[in-house]
Amino acid sequence: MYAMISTPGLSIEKEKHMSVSTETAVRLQGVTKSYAAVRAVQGIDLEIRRGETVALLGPNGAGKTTTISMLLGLLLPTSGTVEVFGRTPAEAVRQSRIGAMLQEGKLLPGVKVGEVLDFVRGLHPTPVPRDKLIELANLGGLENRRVDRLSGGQTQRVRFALAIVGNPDLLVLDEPTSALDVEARRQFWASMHAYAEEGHTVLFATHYLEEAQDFASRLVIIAQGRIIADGTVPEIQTRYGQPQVSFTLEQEGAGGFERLPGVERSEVEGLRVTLHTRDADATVRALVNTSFPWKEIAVKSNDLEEIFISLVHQEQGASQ
Amino acid sequence: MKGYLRLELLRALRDPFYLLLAVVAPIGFYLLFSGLFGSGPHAPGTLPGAVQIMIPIAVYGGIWACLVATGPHIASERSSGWFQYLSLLPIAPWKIVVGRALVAIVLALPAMLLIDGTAVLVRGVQLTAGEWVSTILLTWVGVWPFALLGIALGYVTNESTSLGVTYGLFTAVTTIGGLTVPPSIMPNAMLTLAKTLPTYHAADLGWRLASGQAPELISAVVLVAWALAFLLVAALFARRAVRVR
Repeated sequence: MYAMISTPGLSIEKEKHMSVSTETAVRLQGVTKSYAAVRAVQGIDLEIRRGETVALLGPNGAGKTTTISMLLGLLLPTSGTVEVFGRTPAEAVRQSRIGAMLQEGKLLPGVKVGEVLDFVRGLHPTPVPRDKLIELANLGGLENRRVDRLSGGQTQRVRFALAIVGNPDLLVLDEPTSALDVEARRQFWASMHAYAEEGHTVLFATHYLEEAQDFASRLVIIAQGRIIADGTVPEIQTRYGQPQVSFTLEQEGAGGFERLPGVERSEVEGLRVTLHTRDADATVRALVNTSFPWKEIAVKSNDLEEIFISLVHQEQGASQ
Repeated sequence: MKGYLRLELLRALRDPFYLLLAVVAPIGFYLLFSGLFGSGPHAPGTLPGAVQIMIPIAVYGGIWACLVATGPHIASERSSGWFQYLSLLPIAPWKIVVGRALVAIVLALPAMLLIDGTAVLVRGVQLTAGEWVSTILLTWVGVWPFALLGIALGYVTNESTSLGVTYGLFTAVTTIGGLTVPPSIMPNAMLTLAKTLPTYHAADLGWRLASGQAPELISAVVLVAWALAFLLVAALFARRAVRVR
């Protein structure tokens, strides 16, 4: 169960959907946070069900870390409520239900990896067994190494182990891979995946779209302290993107494709027609129901990166 | 809390600033000073030089042990993210603070015992069993207030200033308090000042007990007063630092 998965570019969408329950893990209602004149978070409503793997995606300064700090009880919201498994974050921490890996986090200098793991294991009522923890965080052979003599990737693995050591129901990671190279990053996500597969809820903040897309079952995009999009990758693509439906005609001269449901504009290049549509499903259904001859149909969903960039720009433009 | 004490002890024992300034340097000082002044004749009713010097140097090492395990460590942990991590663990913040104080006073004892051991082995110091026990015990208790000072410094200073401020303050109070400058050669004004400091009184407990006298009540009063003052500053700044807002 704790086996390491070492396939590069693995995706966990399918498994995650199966283990999601109806129990609410995280609920943020009308949460805002102001520092003096700056409104870092301007009203966030977010509900995460148990078993989901959610990416909090946004540019630097979007309010990701502030939101996470409130979720962990490190900051109090200026207004609104934060609940973790129906309790306050502080209560959830006391019951070992939250584990977190924050951005800032040097380890205690002078102690060995095994010593710090044993200390934290001793604090939790049902810690992950030591050997499983070592395996899950990929710390084999490092137990007797002093924490101030580890490489960046090794440090991050220890910090990951420290986040999951209490076997928390909710694991929160704030930009966990920002300091890592490609290989360390791949290993990190494999460890995270193995933990999430056990049915734990995971929330991670990132500004890497690719990581969000590959490792989360749901994306919550935030900018300027607000949620600007929320859903699975396909949901966001259909809701905010413009998919393209293209097909080949048997002979030239056909037209009037704009009358098909969802279609906003069409391009014809020789015999190849490309329809830009708001609703690819409706457009394809309508095409199937016509007697008009077409072949080689293809549906291309929008590039998530384009959607992300345009959403963030819209939000930034709107608030200026 | 046992786990936390164990972790902090391991860590402090590996800290070169503890080993160097709380253990190695005081032993060096003791050997130097007792070699220069320790073997001279002494008047009846006064202590031989080797004992007279042993006590303040042991207090000196004990105080540094208390300070170095708290001030600079707490200051750097506050900014390194370790304190934030601790606040996400099911352990009460007061246990962390009490744990730090306990670790500091536990670390003071071996530093002090090593000076006493050096005095016995190298300088042939002899005291009765009762004198040894009471001297060691009360000078050890006499350095406890400095664990509270160290905790206060950990919250007042930051990562980059902490070691400097802690060491500067340490040098000032140990010098003015008569640990590295014998009170007997101090001008009157300086001696009056020394007698207001906890450093002087921690050593005075030892000087009196080692010569078979009872310690003075004023020593207890001064030590408790400073301990309360340090506690107040520590509590004030620690509360401000850990408050969630």
